Amino acid sequence: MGWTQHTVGTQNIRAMTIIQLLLGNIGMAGGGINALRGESNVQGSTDHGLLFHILPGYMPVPSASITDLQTYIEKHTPKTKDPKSVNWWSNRNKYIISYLKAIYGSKAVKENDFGYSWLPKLDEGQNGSWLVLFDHMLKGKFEGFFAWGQNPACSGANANKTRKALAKLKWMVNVNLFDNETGSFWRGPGMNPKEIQTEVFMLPCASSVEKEGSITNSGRLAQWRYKAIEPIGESKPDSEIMNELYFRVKKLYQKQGGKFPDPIINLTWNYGEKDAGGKIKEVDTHKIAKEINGYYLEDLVDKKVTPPKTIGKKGHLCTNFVTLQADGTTSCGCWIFSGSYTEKDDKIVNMMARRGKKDIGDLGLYPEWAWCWPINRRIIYNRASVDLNGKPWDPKRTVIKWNPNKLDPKTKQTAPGWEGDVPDGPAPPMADEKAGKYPFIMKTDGRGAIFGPGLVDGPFPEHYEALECPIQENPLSSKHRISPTVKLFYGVKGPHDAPAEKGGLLPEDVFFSCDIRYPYVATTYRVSEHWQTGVMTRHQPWLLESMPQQFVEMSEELAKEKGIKSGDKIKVKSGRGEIMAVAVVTKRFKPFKVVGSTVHQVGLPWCFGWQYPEDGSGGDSSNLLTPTIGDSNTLIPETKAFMVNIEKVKEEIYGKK
Amino acid sequence: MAKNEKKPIGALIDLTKCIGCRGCQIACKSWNNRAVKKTVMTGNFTNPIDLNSETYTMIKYVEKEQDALMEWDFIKVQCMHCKNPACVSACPVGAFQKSPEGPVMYEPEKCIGCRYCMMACPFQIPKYEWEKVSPVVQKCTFCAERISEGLIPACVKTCPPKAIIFGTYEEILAEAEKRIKENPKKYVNHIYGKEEAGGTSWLYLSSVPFETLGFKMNIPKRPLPDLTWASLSKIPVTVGSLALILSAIAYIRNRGENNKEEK
Amino acid sequence: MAAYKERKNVSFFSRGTMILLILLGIAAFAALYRFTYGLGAATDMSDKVPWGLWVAFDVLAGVALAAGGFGITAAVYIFNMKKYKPIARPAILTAFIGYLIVIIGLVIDIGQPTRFWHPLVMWQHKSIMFEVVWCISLYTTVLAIEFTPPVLERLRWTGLLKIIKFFTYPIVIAGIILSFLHQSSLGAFFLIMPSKLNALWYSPIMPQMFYISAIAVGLSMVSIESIVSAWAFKREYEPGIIKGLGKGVAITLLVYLVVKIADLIVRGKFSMVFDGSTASRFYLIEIFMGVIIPMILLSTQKIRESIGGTFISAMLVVGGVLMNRFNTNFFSQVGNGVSYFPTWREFAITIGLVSLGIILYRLAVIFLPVFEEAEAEH
Repeated sequence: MGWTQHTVGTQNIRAMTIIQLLLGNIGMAGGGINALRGESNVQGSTDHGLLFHILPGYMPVPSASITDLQTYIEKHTPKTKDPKSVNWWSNRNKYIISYLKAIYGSKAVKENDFGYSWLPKLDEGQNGSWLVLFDHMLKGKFEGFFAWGQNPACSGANANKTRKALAKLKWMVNVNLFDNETGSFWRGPGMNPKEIQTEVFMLPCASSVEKEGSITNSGRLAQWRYKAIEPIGESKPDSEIMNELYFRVKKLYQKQGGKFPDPIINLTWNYGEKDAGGKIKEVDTHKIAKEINGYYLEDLVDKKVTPPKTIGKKGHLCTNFVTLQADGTTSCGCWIFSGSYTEKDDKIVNMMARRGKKDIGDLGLYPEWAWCWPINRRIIYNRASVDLNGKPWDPKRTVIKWNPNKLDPKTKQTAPGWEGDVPDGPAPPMADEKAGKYPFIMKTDGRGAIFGPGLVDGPFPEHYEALECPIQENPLSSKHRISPTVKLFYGVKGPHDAPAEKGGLLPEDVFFSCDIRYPYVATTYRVSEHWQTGVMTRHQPWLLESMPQQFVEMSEELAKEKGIKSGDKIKVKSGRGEIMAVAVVTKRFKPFKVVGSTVHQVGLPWCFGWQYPEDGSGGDSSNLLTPTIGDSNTLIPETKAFMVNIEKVKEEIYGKK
Repeated sequence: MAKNEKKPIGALIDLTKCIGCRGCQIACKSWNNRAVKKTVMTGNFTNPIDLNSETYTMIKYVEKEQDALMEWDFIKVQCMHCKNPACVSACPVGAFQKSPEGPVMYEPEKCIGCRYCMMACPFQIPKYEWEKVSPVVQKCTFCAERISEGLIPACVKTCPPKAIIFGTYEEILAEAEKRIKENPKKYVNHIYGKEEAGGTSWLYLSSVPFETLGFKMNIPKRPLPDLTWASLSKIPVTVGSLALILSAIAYIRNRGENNKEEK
Repeated sequence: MAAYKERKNVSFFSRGTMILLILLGIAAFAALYRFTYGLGAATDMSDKVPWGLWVAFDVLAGVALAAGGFGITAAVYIFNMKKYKPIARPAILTAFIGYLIVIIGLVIDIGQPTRFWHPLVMWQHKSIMFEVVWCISLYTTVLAIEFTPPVLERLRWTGLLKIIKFFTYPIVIAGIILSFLHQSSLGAFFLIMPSKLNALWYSPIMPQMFYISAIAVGLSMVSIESIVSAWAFKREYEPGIIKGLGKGVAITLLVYLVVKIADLIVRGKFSMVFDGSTASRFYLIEIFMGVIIPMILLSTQKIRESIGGTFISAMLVVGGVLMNRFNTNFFSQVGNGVSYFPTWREFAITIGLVSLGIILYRLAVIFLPVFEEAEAEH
């Protein structure tokens, strides 16, 4: 998060990846970039298509201009003439069609493009990411909003704007373990409940220990979790809430027709036994996992080999994505997860529930513990960890190696092959002129790229300042202080840091760079005691006891300058809001020397909110300070660098008046 | 390890491995069902600011600069479970007992609330339920009830970086010595608790001198109860000799008087 | 054996007793608060300062102040120093009342007052506290027996009186031994805290020091009581006794001072006395005001013979020992950011207990033949 939540977040990661590539650290044990996720299942949610622009398995959401499946496949299938490049995305057609078969079932046939027209589409240039959504919400473009397992009133950058946006809604459904600052936004600080017309519905949901399912960490390891206790009170697992909603919405579409009923009416929903009304009585998580893995819809035979070999039998679970077909004979909800819930010797195996403790060497890969996408490969691009002959670059930490004398355990005959982790394809090492393959199988040219296309802010990382920053000029590029490709919500002309004064812009989006009113760089972070905005942890008395209040950390030098002592009450103010915090003067912060001048930084956690603890002693979210601006590529908000002022205050700062 | 119930148990805290996550603090509260005392930020991450009757173990955060390098140390504190505990010897009613397995046990039903244990403990571990009308002392139990079931203490179990290890005292002492021997540059050559107060069941390893982390360095190496026993053990002799001497003096000094009165 | 007669010349009620009763009432209110809301609410004690004013004054100092009992009984009965016989009864009475007050103080101070009897049943013989509780209980019983003669005389139970008198020597000897044990044990309390108690006070011979200082303060208390009660009950002073007590105090203080200084030198801590720290300042005040000055004063015959001089000297000794007990208790707890200041309830209860002691003393002296024995023999 410290790397990504910047206007140059993607390029930060890119720069680090290039360094790893240059160091030869790709595909190596302990190499690559380890994303420290902000949430334990971020990987899983992204894998399964949580983001607005990707379908499950990192397939692009079609744009409205692409009206038929063939065009979609052509546009998103890269081509290469180099026989050594695996170019894995050339399988796009298999994955999208299997996906359509999974979600629309028998309704998806070749004649109707497998239901391609029912997929939601993005208008050309449309962006549905967080900052844009709430911008539109504030401008009154939304009627309703499902706040599902989130607390935007505290987690969203520029939370004052977010809170104001919520007031523009007609209705909001808050799905969470507890009521939170979002569900109760209408009675929060600065709100007048009489003037707010938003109708809020609270749907209490079960916690992770009250339901079964998988969770995927940033090592792509999908681990199955079991239900420890029954959900408390009226709370239900998310899947049950969706089940209820789905059948009610579907019924309405069936009765009333509506503008576009097909995607809802044709959706498969075979997750358990149906009651008399046609509703699933209880959602069986295993059935969802199986749908994600995929089924053979017909008996599949590989006729290219002699004698023809059976690939799979009708109705059975797919072995893995290698067997997926582009003709509608297979279904798969998320191709990268194909093989996670499969069949071995006609026995159904939930690979994610495995708990084997055998390791490869002592690398800590534990290939029999749970399951890793793709096809249980623990380290991707692992063919980059060997030389042209398949010999590991680091023999002490061998991920894979080519064994020309490998014995086939069944036939007891020599069958050269790879040993160790699951390799990126069975092809022999690159020294094999005929069959050798490049290691970067997801890249069209099969090579790692230092300079190349794909990102809106250029082929190579470039230094830009944050939107709000303490220096007038980018020392590395006098023309562009901030990235010229960021989407600005406020100010549109000239050097991007000059806010335009003309009407039509929201005052909520204002920012202040090199402004003496906000002289200190601020950043936000987490504490180990609290989870995200603290909705789950602030209700936990032990955690609140150990981390009770909003604080602001600063260097001894800054504290001395401002006459602040540890424990003092501080008002932290940005161009968009202010919060109260307790000063923590620490040696862990040091002033920076930036182009000759001293720059001070302060740090704030963002785990607190006005609603709980009930006496208000926790303080409010530090996202009240952060600006509405995001990364050029992802629009991830820039909450890790913005400008504030701090001021010692005398009055009791916490507690409701 | 825990199965070997006959041998005394011990635990080793390798402070170089602690990440300050406070998992131990919370796990302890959870297992021992401890309540919460309202806290505020005091300008340091240590919270609550010290052990109390509802907090048996916690992390203290120590920040310092050495050779211009910032150091942030996390120190887990809990009862040291001395081999020969001052609290056991101080308690007038035997509410504290050192169990043969190692934990220093406390029976609240016996306690009269004199708080001499709190005065006597060199590590300031026993804490009092000041807010209660009928208070007793509280302290870390070494999860004796878990250990008797073959489990390991809650704090040890929860520690993500395995900064705390649990085993027989012999094992963990050997491990501590091994770590220092194998990595003499990393650790200071001092196993805190090996000799302090005559030895404790909990041992610490550190990469910086213990005094810089707030550990008490002036604790005698001999068991503290010896100090009082040196005085107490003389009582029978004192009583006997005093009785004799006083009787003799009284007899000699009053001899004439008695004769007079008798006449 | 003279027949007793009530003191008709003194009434129990006076302006002084009224004030004492008011103080006692305030203390009762504070005690009610303590038993309703607990120690945390009623006192400034905390996990860092578990022993506050009550332990320091009501127990540690209280026991020392009541040490006159054993000193005088030893002088009168063991050493047969007849001169002091007139003050034997008042001294025993003071000690008895003193110990009753200590016991009440202890019950208020312990967290589980209803379990005060536990140490008598649940033995833990390695605990100093166990020994102190037993000694105090036994010694209070001994004092009660030692004080039965005036009561029995009042009741004219001559038979029982004879039996008690028959056992005078064993009882007196038992009393002296018990006193010796727990006076020194109060010092032994702190032996287990070498890392906590300031080195100016911590010494392996703390038990002996406590004992010697208890003799000095006990005798001083007898002097004070003799002077005050002579004044209060309009009796003649007994200059011979007071002079003798003064001499005894001076000698004890000299021994005490020598032991104190020798101990510091042997332990190599002498330089700490002048290191300018808070503790060193408190130490110097304790030694100068409480030991050296009264010792010098009482070594002067003229002062010893003057009632005022003796009184002031004795008060200094009392102050010195009080300070010693306070210093020992608090310099094992406070400092390093830890502070303690008693709440008004703690003060009120302590003052109330002292008031109760004076009231009981006055009652006893008025209604029982405390001084009569002496007068009769004149």
